[in-house]
Amino acid sequence: MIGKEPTNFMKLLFLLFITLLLTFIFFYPKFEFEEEELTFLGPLSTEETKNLILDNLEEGDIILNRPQSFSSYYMQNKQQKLFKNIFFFFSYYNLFDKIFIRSMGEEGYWHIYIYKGNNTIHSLSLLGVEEGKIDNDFVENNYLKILKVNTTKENKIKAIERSNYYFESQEIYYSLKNGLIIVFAKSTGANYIFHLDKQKLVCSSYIALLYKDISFNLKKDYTYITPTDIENSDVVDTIIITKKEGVYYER
Amino acid sequence: MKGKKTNIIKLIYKILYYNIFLSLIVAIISIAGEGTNNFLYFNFTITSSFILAVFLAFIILYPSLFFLIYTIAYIIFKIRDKVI
Repeated sequence: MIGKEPTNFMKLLFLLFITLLLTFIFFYPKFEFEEEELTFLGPLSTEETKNLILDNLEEGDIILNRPQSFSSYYMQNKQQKLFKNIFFFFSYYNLFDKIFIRSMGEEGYWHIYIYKGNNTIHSLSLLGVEEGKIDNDFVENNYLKILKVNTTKENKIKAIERSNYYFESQEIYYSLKNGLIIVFAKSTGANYIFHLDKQKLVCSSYIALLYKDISFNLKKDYTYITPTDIENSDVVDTIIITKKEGVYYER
Repeated sequence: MKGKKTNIIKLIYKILYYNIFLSLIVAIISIAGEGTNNFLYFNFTITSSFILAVFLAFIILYPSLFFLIYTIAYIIFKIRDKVI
């Protein structure tokens, strides 16, 4: 060590300490969740779970999911260019799950979809509005929560029509910047207006945009809605939850 | 023993120093990321929310990348010392 290095070293250590401290202040894990009054059906096979979900799903219902484990998420996404590097994948998985998702709530759902009928789901992901299917892989590799929106049939039809329109036009962008600010606002309870672009959203604010005639959280504009806001909203009822121990179902 | 200690401190110093630039670049690039129609775009328009998001990304990335790079560097040095 020569010259200014020892003092610089202390400054750099101080920077490390400060960044660690701020990360814990802004993005600490939350442990608050509501007890659901559902019947426990026990562990079901993938096929049985899929059939139960499809039998109970109606157009306009909302599906929340989180990967069961690192390996199941890797197996599902290894075909994607972005995730071909295992080193990048490992860092992304842990940062996303442990810092972003857990700082919003205990249950930690990663992504949110709208069911548009005929086994088809829509969601806003990193590469725009995407269409998917509820297949065995989806049920087997994810823990799911199915929510029914307490609103009129017209509002549900409008939401699906909007989703079809945005899927065709692709005029909604997925924005990582807005995602980080939304998580920060949710995690710290900050109610400042950050001037977020109305067309640059994340998965949960996209669902809030589709259902813009109702509000999942009256205190917030749809651009600030997080998966936890939808999950804990008064305008939704939980009908099915799949967990490690088995399936919970509202009879 | 003293020499080894100095080497580890030098290693930590270098990682802490270069990690500032690395974290900042990764933060700016990832925050600028926007996707639609199966394409990922980068929008570098500087606004107050962009600066806030880069700051938030930096405070998350700086310690995470430091511990990651340090662990990898430490393992590499340990293996190299044993081989030699």
